[in-house]
Amino acid sequence: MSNKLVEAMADLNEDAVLEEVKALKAKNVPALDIIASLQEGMGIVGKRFEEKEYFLSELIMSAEIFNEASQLLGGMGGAGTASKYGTFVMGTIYDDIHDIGKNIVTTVMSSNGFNVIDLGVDVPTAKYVEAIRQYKPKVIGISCLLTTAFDNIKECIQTLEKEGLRKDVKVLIGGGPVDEATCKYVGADHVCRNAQETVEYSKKYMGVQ
Amino acid sequence: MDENTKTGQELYKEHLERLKKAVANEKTDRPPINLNADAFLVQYGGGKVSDLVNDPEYGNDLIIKALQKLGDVDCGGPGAFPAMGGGAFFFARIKLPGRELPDNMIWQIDELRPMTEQDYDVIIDKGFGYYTEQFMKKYFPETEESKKDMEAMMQLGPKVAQKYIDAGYVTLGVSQEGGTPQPGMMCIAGAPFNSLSAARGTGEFLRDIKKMPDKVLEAMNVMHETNLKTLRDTVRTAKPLTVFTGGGREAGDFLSIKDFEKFAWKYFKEAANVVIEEGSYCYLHLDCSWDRFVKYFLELPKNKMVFGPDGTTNIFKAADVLYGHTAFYGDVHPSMMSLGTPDEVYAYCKKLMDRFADKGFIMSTGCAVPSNAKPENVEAVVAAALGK
Ligand code: B12
Repeated sequence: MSNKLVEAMADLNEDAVLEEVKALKAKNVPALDIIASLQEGMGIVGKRFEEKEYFLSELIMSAEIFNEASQLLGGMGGAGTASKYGTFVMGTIYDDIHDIGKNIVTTVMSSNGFNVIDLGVDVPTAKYVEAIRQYKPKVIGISCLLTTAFDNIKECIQTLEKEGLRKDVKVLIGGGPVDEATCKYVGADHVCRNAQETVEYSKKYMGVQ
Repeated sequence: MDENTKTGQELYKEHLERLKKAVANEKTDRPPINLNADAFLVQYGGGKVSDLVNDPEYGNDLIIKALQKLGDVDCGGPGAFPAMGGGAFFFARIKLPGRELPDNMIWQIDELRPMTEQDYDVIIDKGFGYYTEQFMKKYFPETEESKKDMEAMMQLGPKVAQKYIDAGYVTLGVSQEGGTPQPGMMCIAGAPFNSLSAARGTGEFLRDIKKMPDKVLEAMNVMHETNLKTLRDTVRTAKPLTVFTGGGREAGDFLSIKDFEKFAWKYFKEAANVVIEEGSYCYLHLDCSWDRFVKYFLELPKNKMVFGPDGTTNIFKAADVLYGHTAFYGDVHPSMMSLGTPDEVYAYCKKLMDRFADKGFIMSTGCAVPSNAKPENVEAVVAAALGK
C-alpha cells in the first residue's frame, strides 16, 4: 500500500495521484496493488462524504481522478478491478429521464470496484430482464424521481418475479421522492439515500467485507 | 358577500390585495392559495394533458374551470405552453403528450447537454446569448411547426393571461400593476450556475468547477453581467409583483459551503438584490434541499422575499432562522400529494398554518402539484387554507 497515493487520492490531489501512479508503475509495482491504494483512498473519500466534509462535486472529482489513474494502468478492466466486487446493473425507470442521481451512483459504484452496467434512462422492463439474464448481477438499482413512475417500478419488479429472476437479485431503489413507503409499495428490497449508501449495501449483499 | 356572487374583477382585486400583503410579510385574513398545477388541473377540469399542447387556449379554459371547481383559489395559471421556449431554457428536446407521448403523460424534458469544455471560451468571448443562439440554430432550426407554435404563443399569450385575470386569478411573477401581463416580459432571476449545469450536464459541470475553476468563473462573470442588465430592464418595464428567483442545482448535497459561496451564492445574491432594488419581491423557487444554506438569505433585505422550498428543505427549521425576515410559501411534498391521504395533507397544511399564523404565508405545494396528485389531496390543501 502506498500511503502517499492513498493520501493524495483522499485529498483529491490530481497531480500528485498521477505522478505517484507513474512512479509506482516505473518501480514495477503490480497494477492491482496500485489500484488497491487508489481504492483505499476512495474509501476515505466516501467516509469524508458521509461526514459532510465532502459533497457530490468532490465525489465526482474523485471518480474522475480514479478513472484517469486507472487509465494509466491500462484501464479498469485491464487492472482487474472490474470483477472485484461483481456486477451492478442500474437504470432510471421508464417514463423518467432524471439521471443526475443515477450517474452519480454509477460513477461512484464503478470507482469503488463494481462492474457497472448502466442501462440509461427511460428504461423499459424488458431491458432490465435482458440485462439480468445476460450479466447475472446480485444487485440491481432502479432510480426514480417521479411519483408518476412508481407504478412502473412496481410493474418492473413484478415482472422480474414472474420471469423467475427476482429471488436471485436484490433490488435497490433511490431518487428524491422515493422513501420507505415507496419501497414497500413497489416491492423493492432497500432504499438508498445516496451513492455512498449504495456502495455499502451492495458490498453487504455481495458478501464483500 | 359569497365568493360565488363576486365578479371576476372583484375577486381579482381581493386576491391581489391578499397576495400583496403575504409577499410583504404582513398579516392576511387567510393564506392566499397558489396552485402551480397545469398538468393536474387540466385533467381535473375534464381534459387531457395533451389539450395544453394541441389547443392551449382550450387547455387553459379547462384549468380555469378546474380552479373554480376547487373553491376560492387566489393564484394560478397561465398553464405552460410546453411546446415553446422550454427547450432553449433547459438545452433540451421536449417530448410532448399528444405528439411523441400518450395523451395523459407529462411532457418530458430530454436534456441534450450540448456544451463542451471549449465552449467556455465561446461564452467568454461572445456571450451566453450568442452561445444559446448557436445552440438553437444547430438543434432546433426553424420549421413550419415551430413557427406555428411560436406564432400561436405570441397571439395566445396575452389573450389567455387576460382570461385568468377576468376570472379573478392572480399569476405569480407576471406584471400586476399595469393590468395586462406582457408575454416575453417574464422575469427570471438566479445564478448562472443553473444554466451552465443544464448546458454542460450536471456531472461534467461539477467536475469543471474542480478542474478549471477560473475558466468557469470567467464565463459566469460574463453571463452574470448580461443577466443582471436584462433582469433590471425587464423588472423595470414589467413591474411584476414577484420575480421567480430560482435555484436548485447549487443546493442539495452538490457543493461544499466554500464552493456554494464562490460559484453560486455571490451571483444569486446580486440577482436577488437587483429584483429588490427595482421594487419587486423575490419568489425564491428553491428546488432540492436548502437546509445547509438557509442562513444566507439573512444577507438580503428583510420582508422582500418569499421563501419557497420544494418539500425537500425542512421548512420548519428554515422558519427558526427566517421567520420574520422572509415570507413563506407552503410546501406539501409531491409524494404526499400523489400517495398520501387527504387527512395527512390536511394535517400538514394545518401545521404550516399554525407555524406561520397567517402572517406572510402562501399556501401551496412544493414546486408543482404532480400530474397524478389525488384530487382529494388538492381539495384538502384548499380546504385547509380556507379554514374549512
Ligand atoms: C434537476 C431536476 C430536473 C432536470 C433533470 C436533469 C437530469 N438530467 O436529470 C429536468 C429539468 C430535466 C427535470 C425534468 C422534469 N422534472 Co424534475 N427535478 C429535478 C430536481 C430539481 C433535482 C433532481 C436531482 O437531480 N437531484 C440531485 C440528485 C443528485 O439527487 P437524486 O436524484 O435524489 O439522487 C441521489 C439519491 O436519491 C440516490 N439515488 C438516486 N437514484 C438512485 C437509485 C438507486 C438504485 C440508489 C441505490 C440510489 C439512488 O443517490 C443520488 C446521489 O446521492 C428535482 C427536485 C428534487 N427535490 O429532487 C425535480 C423533480 C424530481 N422533477 C419533477 C418533475 C415534475 C419534472 C418534470 C415532469 C417537469 C416537467 N413538467 O417537465 C420533468 C420530468 C421529465 C421526465 N419524464 O422525467 C418533480 C417530481 C414530482 C413528482 N411527481 O414526483 C420534482 C420532485 C420537482 C418537484 N418538487 O416538483 N427535472
